Formats: sequence, C-alpha cells, structure tokens
Amino acid sequence: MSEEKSEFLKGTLDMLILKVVALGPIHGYAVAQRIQQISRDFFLLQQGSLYPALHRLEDRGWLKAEWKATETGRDAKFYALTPKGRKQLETEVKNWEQLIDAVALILRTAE
Amino acid sequence: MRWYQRFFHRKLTEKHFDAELRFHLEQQIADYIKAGMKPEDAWRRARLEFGGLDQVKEECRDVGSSHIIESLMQDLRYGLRILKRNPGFTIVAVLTLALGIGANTAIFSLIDVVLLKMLPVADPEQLVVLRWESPQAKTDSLPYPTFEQLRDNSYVFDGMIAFCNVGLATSVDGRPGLARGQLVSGSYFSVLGVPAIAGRTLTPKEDRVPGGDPVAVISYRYWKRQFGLDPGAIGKQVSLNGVAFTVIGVAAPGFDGISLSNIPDIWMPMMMQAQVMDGRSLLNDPKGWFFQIMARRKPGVRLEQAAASLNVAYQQIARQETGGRLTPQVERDLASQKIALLPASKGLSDVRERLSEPLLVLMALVGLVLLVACANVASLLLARASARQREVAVRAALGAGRARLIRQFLTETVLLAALGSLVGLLLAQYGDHLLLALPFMDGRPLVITVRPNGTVLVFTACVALLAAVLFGSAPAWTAARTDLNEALKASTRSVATGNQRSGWGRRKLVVIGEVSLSLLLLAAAGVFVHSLLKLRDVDPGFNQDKVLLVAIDPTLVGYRGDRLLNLYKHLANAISTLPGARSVGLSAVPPMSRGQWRTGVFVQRHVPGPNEDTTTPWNLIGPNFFRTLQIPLLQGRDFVPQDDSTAPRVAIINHAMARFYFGNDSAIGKRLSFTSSEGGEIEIVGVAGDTKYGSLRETAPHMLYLPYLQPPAGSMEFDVTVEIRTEGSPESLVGAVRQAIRGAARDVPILGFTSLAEQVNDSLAQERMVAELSSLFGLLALILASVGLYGLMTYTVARRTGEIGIRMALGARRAQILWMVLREALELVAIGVVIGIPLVVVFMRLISSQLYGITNGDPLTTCAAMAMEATIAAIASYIPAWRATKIDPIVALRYE
Repeated sequence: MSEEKSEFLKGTLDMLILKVVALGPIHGYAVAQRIQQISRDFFLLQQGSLYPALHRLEDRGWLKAEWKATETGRDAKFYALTPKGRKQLETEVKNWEQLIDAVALILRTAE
Repeated sequence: MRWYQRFFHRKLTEKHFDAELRFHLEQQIADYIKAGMKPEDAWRRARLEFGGLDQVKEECRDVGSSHIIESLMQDLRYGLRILKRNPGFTIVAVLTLALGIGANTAIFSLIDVVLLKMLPVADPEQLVVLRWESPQAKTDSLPYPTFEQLRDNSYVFDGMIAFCNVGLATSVDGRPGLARGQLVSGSYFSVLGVPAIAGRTLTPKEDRVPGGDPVAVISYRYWKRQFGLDPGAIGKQVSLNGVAFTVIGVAAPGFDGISLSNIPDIWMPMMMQAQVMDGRSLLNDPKGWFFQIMARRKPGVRLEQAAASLNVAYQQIARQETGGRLTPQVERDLASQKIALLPASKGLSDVRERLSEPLLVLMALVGLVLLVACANVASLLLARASARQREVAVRAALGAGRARLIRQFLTETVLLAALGSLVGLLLAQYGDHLLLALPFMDGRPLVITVRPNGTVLVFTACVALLAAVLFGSAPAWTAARTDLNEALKASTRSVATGNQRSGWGRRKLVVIGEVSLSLLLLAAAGVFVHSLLKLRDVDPGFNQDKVLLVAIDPTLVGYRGDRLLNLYKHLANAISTLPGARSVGLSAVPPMSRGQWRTGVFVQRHVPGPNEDTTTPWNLIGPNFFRTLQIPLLQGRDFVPQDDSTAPRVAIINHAMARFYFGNDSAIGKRLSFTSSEGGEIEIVGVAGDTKYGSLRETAPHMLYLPYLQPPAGSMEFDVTVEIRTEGSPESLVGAVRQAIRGAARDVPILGFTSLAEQVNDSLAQERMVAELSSLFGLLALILASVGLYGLMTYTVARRTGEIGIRMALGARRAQILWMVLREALELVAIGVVIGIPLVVVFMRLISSQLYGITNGDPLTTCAAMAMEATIAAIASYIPAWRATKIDPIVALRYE
C-alpha cells in the first residue's frame, strides 16, 4: 500500500463518506474501516482528513450526528445522512459518473 | 448542532471532539490487538498513525461558519490571559496608549464643539448670515428697517431673523445679578426651529407694538443656574435693566444661541429694544447699523441664487432710501454695495475663526504624540514577540496556521488599543475639564460643554484602531514569520539569535522614528514658547505695571445723557483722591481688549483711494488717560476737564494716524469729521504715541481719541473702564476703589477688576495655551522616546552580555564598554535627529503664520531642542550602559 495509492482524488472523499454513511448510521472509525475494506485497502483514510471532513459535512447539514452506544456499549458519535445529504450524494454520484464517462471517452478515442 | 449552539456550548463541543477522537484511537488499538499485536505495540502504532491530535482538532474547528466568531472569542480569551500574565507590560502599554489616545480625544472634543458641531436647530445647513459689503467696509450688523424690508421683499427664504446682544442687570426675587441678553425678532425661534421645553417661545405677535410685550424666554442653562429648573419660573416677574418682564418659557436644552462667543441667558422681543437699551429706539433708524441678520434658505435654493435675489431687493430698498436724490456718485456707491450670504450652519462665531488654526496645529501635534506612543508600544511588542517566539513556534507546531497566528497577535493589539482608549477616554474627560478652565481667549474660558458624543466616540475608536494597526502589524508579522525549526532549536537558549535580529533591527527603526518625532514636537514647543516670549517683550506703547482697571456700566441701571457723564466725572474725581492712587484716567474701550470701536472718518483735504479703508479705531477718554497709562504726548495738548459739551470739539490722534493723513506736516489744527449722520467738525489738538489696541501682534493701528465729555451722537451711552495708576500693587487698591464707587453711586454694577498687566497677559491667552499644550506634548513625546531608547539599550546589553563578558575577559576597560554601549545609542539618536531636522523645517514653514517675530525657522530653538533630545537620550542610555560595565565576565560567559 504505497503513499500515492491512498491519496483521494480531490472532491471524492466527501462523496465516498456520504455514500458509506448512506448505508446507515455509523461512527467515524467505522467509516474509515469501511472505506478501507470496500476499496480493498486502496484507500487508507487518515484521521487528519476524516474528522475535518465529517465535521464539514455536518456543518453543511448533509450529515447529522448523534451520540449513541455501540454494540460494545461504548458511547460513540454516529453520523447519518440527512435528506439534504442524500440529494447531495445523488448529485455528486451523477457528476462523478459523467466525469468518468467523459474521461473514458477521451482515453478511448485518443488511442 | 448549529454554529450558535456550538458557540454557546463550546466546552461541551470540545469534550465531544476529545471523546470522538479518543473513541477512534481506542477502536484502532482494539483492532490491532485483535489482529494479534501486543497491547503496547498496538498502542504505539495507533498513536503513531493517528498523528497530531491537536492538529486534527484544530482543523475540525476550522470547519464552517462557527469558526470566525468562535475562534475570535478564543483569541480574545487567550489575549486577555496573556495580558494578565504580564501585568507590567500591560500597564505600561495601556498607559502609553491611553496618554496618546486621551490627548487626541481631548483636543478633538474641542475641535468637535468649536469647529465641527452644527447648531442644534432644525436643518442648520439652510441657514445663512447676511454681511453688508462695500469696497471700503464690511459689516455683519445692519439697520433694523433694512432688515424689515429685506424680510418682507425676498422670496428665496423661509424666514429671516434679526438679533442683537445686550448686557442685562437682572433682579430676580429682589436679588441683583448679571445676565447676557439677546433681543430677537419674533420669528427667531420658529425660523431656527428651536422649541420650548417649558412654556412657550416668542412669536411674530410680539413683533408689532414697540414696548408692548415685556416677555422673556430663558435658556435652559439660565433656568438651571437661576431657578434650579423650577417650573414655577414660568410666569415669574423679573426685572431686566429696570424693566419688568414676564418669563414665558424655557428654550430647549442644548440651544446656546447662535454664537460661541456670546451665549445668551435671556431672549427678549426686539420691540423691547428701546426699553432695555437706552430709551432711544434704533428700530426706525436707517443708520442704526446694529442688528445681525440670519435667514433660512428655502429648500433647493442655492446660495448664489439666494444672494442674487436678495441683492435685487436690497438695491431697490437702498434706492428708495435716497429719496430720489440719485446723483451719479450715489449711483456708483450703491452699485458697489452688496449683501453677501455666508453659510451659518455652525452658527456665527469669531471664536471659530480665531481658534481654528491653533486648534488644528494642536491636533496635528497631538497626533504626532500618538505616533510616538504607538512606536513605543510597537517596540515593546517587538521585544515581546522575540521573547514569545518559543510559544509561537509551539503553537505553529501544534497546527496553528500563519493567518491564525497573525490574527491572534492582532487580536491582542486590538485588545490593548481598546483598553488604552477606555482609559484614554477617562483621561480625555479630565483633560477637557482642564482645557476648558484655561483662559482661552481674552482671559475668559470658553463657555462650552464638551461631552463625549457619537462623533467623539467614533473618532476615538478610529484612532484606537489606527493605533492598533500602527503598533501591532510589525510585531505580528515578525512573529508569524518565525521559522519553526530555528525557533525551537534556539529556544533552549534564552538569548535571542538568528532571525530575532530582524525584530531587533525593527526596534532600532522604531526608536529612530521616535527620536525624530519627539525632536519635531520639542522644536514645535520651543518655537511656540519663543514666539510667546517675543510677544511678551513687545512694547505696547504704554506702561502696563501698577495699573488697576475697573469696569463699570451705569447704563444698565438707567444712567443716561448728562447724568451719566456727571457720574463718570464724579467717580474719576472720587477715586483720584484715594491715597495710593497716583493718577486716574478713564476710557470707553479698555486698553488691550478685543472689543474695538471703529468709525468712518473724513479727514480734511484727504481724498480716499478707491480701496482705502476709511474707518479708524477710536476711543472716548478722560483727561488723565495718557498720563495714567504713560503714553507720551508727542505734539499739542492733552484733553482737559473743560473739553465738554459746551466747548469746541477736539480730538487727539496717534502718531500712525498723523503720519498717514498728514505726512510730515503738523496735524495740530487740522480738522476731521465722522462719516455717520452727525456732521460736526472736530479739531485735532494733539498727537499721542502709538499703542497696541487689540493685540500685541498687530502693528499699532490708527487711533482717534475724543474727550468723553464730547461723545458723538449715536455713542451717547457708553460704559467705561477706569484706569488707576497705583503707588503699590494694583490689587491693594481694589477695596478702596470699590468703596469709592459705592459711595458715589450705590447701584452702579461693577463689571470687574483687573490689572493692566493681567489684561495684556490675557490678550496672549491663546498663544499661551498653544505654547503650554505644545510644551506638554513635546515633553510627553520626549519621555516616551527616552523610555523607548532605554528599553532598547537594556535589551541590547542583555543580548550582548556574552560578547561584553569576552571583551572584559580580554582586558577591555569599563570606560570602553560604557562608550561602546553609549555610542550605539547615540548613533540611533543622531540618525533620528538628522531625519527630524527636515521635518522641523517643514513644520516651521507650515505654522509660520501662528508665530510672532520668528523668521528663518528659528535655528536657535531647533538647536536647543536637539541638545535637549541628545541630553535626555544620553541619560536614558547611560543607565543600561553603566549596567553593562558591571557585568562579571565569568558569570556572563557561563550565562551564554
């Protein structure tokens, strides 16, 4: 797992977090774990980026947070998607797909 | 949580941050252990990966809109904590700023009242004053009939009012007193838009019947002073100059009339003029040039339009007045006359005209004092910024951004400035109190109220902010540029090295600036004092020592005509028999006073040039006037008691007037006459030495003296000042003179005693005020600059302790060390002085109109200021230098 592999494309971190949170209320640590797992260790999410991002999304009203007990009985801050956040996620996913298509088109055609 | 909630639950939020991050860390450790790591390894690895906890927190805090206010509060709290932790620094900085800001606020409050403040009336910018102008003369006082016709025949004004001032001898509930009165036309209050706070104001109804409405409106000030705000004052009978008036109302508080130099206590209807003044009505006299006129422009009418329209009306009125005798000469005269309109939004005030330049000069000086104060605080902050480099480095290492650090520093400086301006406002209150007690003009303090108002507070806030930027930006920048590694490495040593030198270099610049500015202020103080000394040395043309002056006004209690003149004769005789009175004179205009009399004269066989001022100052005097004041009589004879109304009319003129009109010919036997209505010829019987009349600055003006027993018609009722040359001190005779006056006429108001020397001194009140205040400012700047220099040199010595130790170990003598440090300080001072000199030269040129008898920038004063600056600087730097010689080489080397 090299340094460059773990770098996020600019703007994608928020989308990925929103996507993960969309699956159901989840705490910060689990968000990082989930992203790492799903990407098969491609993305290694550092706390230094994760928490500022979570707080930023919360501040924009896309996420709402709640302190709840985990399955082990510890209190943790669980994040959940707000309706506004869901809409934002949809837009971002759409944009992302368009971007991918466009990039793929160029790469193919230019061959 | 919304940002405002977060703002209020800051502590809670912080705790949540911690909990959330701790949870993360713990989960990670738990996972590692689950994956088979030893707990210590798991902990270490997780910890390592986690990175700077504080940085994460810092970045989380940076999120969103909450950030600005929240972190501002944080900065403020942090700033306060820092200031509290360094009370010495804080006190010095706050006091320095308070002095600078307070002095500025004090002077500005005066400027605000004297120069800026609008009249407290409705729409003051529409108000204009009428001024009559001809090539020969101009006057703000016009005849009442002219006023009435202008008022009734012009269509560009919403109203026009006339007024004139009159001194009042009052009797309220049988208690006598003095008050300032103003006769006003009926629409005075309605045109100005000033309501009554109790009762009613005057109305045009009171404009109809001469003598018909003895009613009075009193000012709020007078209501308070005389009646203690008692509502019962309304309807009360008071006696004003012997006439019974009924008080009908109190004008709104804050309305002090329309002139700073004459603040009326009582307003009366113009129709009462004859009753209140002297029994003769001026209201129908087309030659009674006595009434000031103010008008309110209609909205949308420009000043030029109004003036043009008014002059058309004036020309018609003036033509009618000639009664059809329109000779070409009269035509030409009329065509050359006009009425000018002056904006009067700030009221009429010669105070304004006379004080504006000195006040602006003082404002500039006090601004420079603030600069020096800022420089001093900047220097302190720079020193502290060096000392705080470790703290800054730690905060930077913990993840504080550069912008954030700069903001933290600026917050602290703004905090200092705010504290400084709070204390400064208190100082300013006190300062204004002192300033207003100063005899500002003619020995009288200004009768004005200076309160901190919106304008002044805004000014102070701006000054404080400006100050904060001035003294705060350099230190903040220095601090923010701190190289993290350097600083942390250097932090183990307490002596500054490396880039701290840049702070040191800036402090040097700051001190050089302080030296230049304080030199400028010292030189300014010096040149004003020098100018004042020169004025004091001016020969006024009379001998001012041992002369007592007593002003009396019998016209206030009804003395008129022959009865008045007889009283004067009687009084002069009674006083001259007093033991200790060597000679007694009297005059209508006291020597060296601002109240001047001028009249137009025709001098026999003299044809005035086209733009020649045909008016001349004049005075009515008693027989022993010249002897008493020791004014030499150069030719002819003095007045004698026989020069009375039955004798041929005679005059004495001064040397300047004689030379002007008669050149080298003798003036004796020549004739002159007044240009005003009464036409009798007057023979010149003597020529007296020149004297100053209104101020010591002027070149002695022309002077026409007439015997007081031959007053020209129109000047029949005049009050006098009696001049008494005394054997001993003038004060010693006050009691006896008072008794003599009381013995001759029990009811005559004595307006006041003073000595001629004091009177002359009072005429310099304004110059003295500027000299005193500028000296104070110069001293303040000098002290601040030397404190700055002292601080810098102390710091230098500390910085070079090691070096000095080595030098001493190698055999340097104490004198050499002393000189080494002193030289460094004196170099700074020398550079400051060199920079300061051109500033001084420019400044002297700017204020040359304020100075008397000083030309070519006064090199002597500049040199004296330089010497003083150098001496004080040497003393300020001698102490650290001396301390440097006390350094023990062994201790010093270990110290390093």
